[in-house]
Amino acid sequence: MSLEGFRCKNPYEILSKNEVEMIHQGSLEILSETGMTVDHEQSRKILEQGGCSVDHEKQLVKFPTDIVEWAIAQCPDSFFVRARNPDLTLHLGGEAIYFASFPGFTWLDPKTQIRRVATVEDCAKLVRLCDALPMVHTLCQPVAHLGDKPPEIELEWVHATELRNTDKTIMGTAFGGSSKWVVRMVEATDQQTLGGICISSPLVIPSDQAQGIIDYAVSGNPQMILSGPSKGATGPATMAGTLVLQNTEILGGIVLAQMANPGCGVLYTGYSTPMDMRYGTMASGAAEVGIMAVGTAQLARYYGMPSGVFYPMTDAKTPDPQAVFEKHLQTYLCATAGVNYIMPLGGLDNEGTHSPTQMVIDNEVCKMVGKVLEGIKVDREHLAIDLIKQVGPVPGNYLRTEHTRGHWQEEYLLSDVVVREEYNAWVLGGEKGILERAAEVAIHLMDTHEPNPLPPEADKELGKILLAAEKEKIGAVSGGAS
Amino acid sequence: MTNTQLISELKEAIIQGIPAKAVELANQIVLEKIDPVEAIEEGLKAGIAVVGDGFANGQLYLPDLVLSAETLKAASAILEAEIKRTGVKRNKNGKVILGTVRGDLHDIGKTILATLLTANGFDVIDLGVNIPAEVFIETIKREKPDVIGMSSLLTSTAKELANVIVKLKAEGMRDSVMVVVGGGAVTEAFARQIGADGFGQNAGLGVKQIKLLLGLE
Repeated sequence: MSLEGFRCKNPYEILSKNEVEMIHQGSLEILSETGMTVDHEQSRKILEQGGCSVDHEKQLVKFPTDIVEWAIAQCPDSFFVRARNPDLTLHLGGEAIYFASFPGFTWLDPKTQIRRVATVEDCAKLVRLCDALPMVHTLCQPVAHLGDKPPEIELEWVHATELRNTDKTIMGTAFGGSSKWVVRMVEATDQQTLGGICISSPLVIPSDQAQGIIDYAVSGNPQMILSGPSKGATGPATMAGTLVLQNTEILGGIVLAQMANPGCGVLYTGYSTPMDMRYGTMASGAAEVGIMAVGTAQLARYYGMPSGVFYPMTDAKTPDPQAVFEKHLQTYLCATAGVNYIMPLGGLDNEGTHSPTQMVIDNEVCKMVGKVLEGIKVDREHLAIDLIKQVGPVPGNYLRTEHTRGHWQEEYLLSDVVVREEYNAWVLGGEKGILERAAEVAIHLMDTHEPNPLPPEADKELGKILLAAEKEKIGAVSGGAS
Repeated sequence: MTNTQLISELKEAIIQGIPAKAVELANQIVLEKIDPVEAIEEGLKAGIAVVGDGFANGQLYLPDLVLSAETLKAASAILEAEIKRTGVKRNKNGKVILGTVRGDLHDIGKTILATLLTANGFDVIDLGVNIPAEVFIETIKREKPDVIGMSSLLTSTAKELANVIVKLKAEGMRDSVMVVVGGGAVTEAFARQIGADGFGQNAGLGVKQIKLLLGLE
């Protein structure tokens, strides 16, 4: 049993077969001739034993083509991410499309519209909003930074708070050695996580990420291997060149994962954004980001792997028209391109801010994009030819027919936040637009939604793991209770 | 070519961002025994100031700025060596050491800051990325800078900024240098909390902050 999500049956493509092949060949050339820096001794040893050529002093690993092709062949074309609640298990691969929440460094409180650093309690409320919204099929932590915990263990606290407040699946991390603790936590809550691994562009697997690849592979948790060269900065200024570099880096990570545990599930994941040449910022809402998603999905299909993207994103600082048009274009492109794992919900300001108001708006966008994927159902009953003959010309109408009552719900999207009433009703209702309505829904759900509770013994176990992490990472212990 | 022509060509090479051309001109300047201080002031600095202004006005973009910075670096190595050899003295706005802290490989914001500081007459030593606290300390001991600028983009490495400051205190060197921090993971409140002297949200504001701290603005 697994979560339904959406399905993309005829993916939109931008690259020809020959162009995909050219990108693949380019990556093989770079992997074998230039290689990658792997800043982690254990990983270099694993890669060396597996047949890569390693210069330990320079920390440089070169990947022979037959090894890379072996690793690609080990990757399964689909895999499960098992949830605590079996109905919420993900089955990534094939036509499946899932939407995920997007993290922020801070969050934008819908009650005050002020951006601030989250506490554990704020984080719990943000997770409950993710739990409540139906388009959040799976979670990436809503905030990556906690103001009331030491920085060394804030990610561990974020993940424990997720597990305590939702029975949906969550993404793990590897930053600062967090992968070791995430693996223990999901074991305690009897589920899997989708580990999140970030390659540093150009061509570096940092030590904590290398450790994460091994931790997730060996523990039997699938992982997303992410590469995100910034066009013009940490990648070439051209989209094709950036795709080659992104592909190269993902393949390098995949070789390590498959050597650590052959056959482990890997989500082929891109997050390339162009750098803005005026500000030096990542132009994360740019159209190129969506275009790159199409290329990313095509490459993953070429390799027979499920695909993911670490966006849609926007550079807007508030839930405003720019936030919506940038994210909507990317969401639409990602979904119609058949990216299996898409992260449209809640992000603002390129990972700077997580916004509950934006979450509720994005929930609507995802419903609409999902509707596009569903397409038009055509059969005798839905063609309604008999009905049209029966109703005939005006004064006949369809509102009073049993056919309408029987079918409208499956064909319509209703919304609590989109403005659809007529003008006078809108005025009488206080002239509220989408922002006010979305904020109200977000506040209500954050304050009232009750998640499926974590069994007390698992909760206790999470507390113990947090204490152990604190002890190991900073020596002192302040307490691990929720 | 006359002296003035050579220096003016050097300035143009900086503006256009052509390292090979600038190196050739700098070598010729040394060969013809033209005052290297004048070449730096009227050639390199005048050129990079034009580029800095163009960038600030939105007429030039980051690739222009960075290529001009690379050109400046290449030519200035030659002219600085000549100054050292001949023992000429010259005035600078101040000396700044820059680096991204250990565990963090993010380079671009710091490189922009280095360029803008150079354009503003500072003597800049850019240590690069993934710099351990010990290297910052050693370099401060050796170079005696007015300011040390550290950057961190990742939240997981922001604490390393605090670590360098703690080590500076332990060495009894905290009062010998101004500490300015910046980067994606740093906020003004965080900078205050870890005891930095200044904070720059971006490269432009970083220059402003450093000038302010040194009483130049």
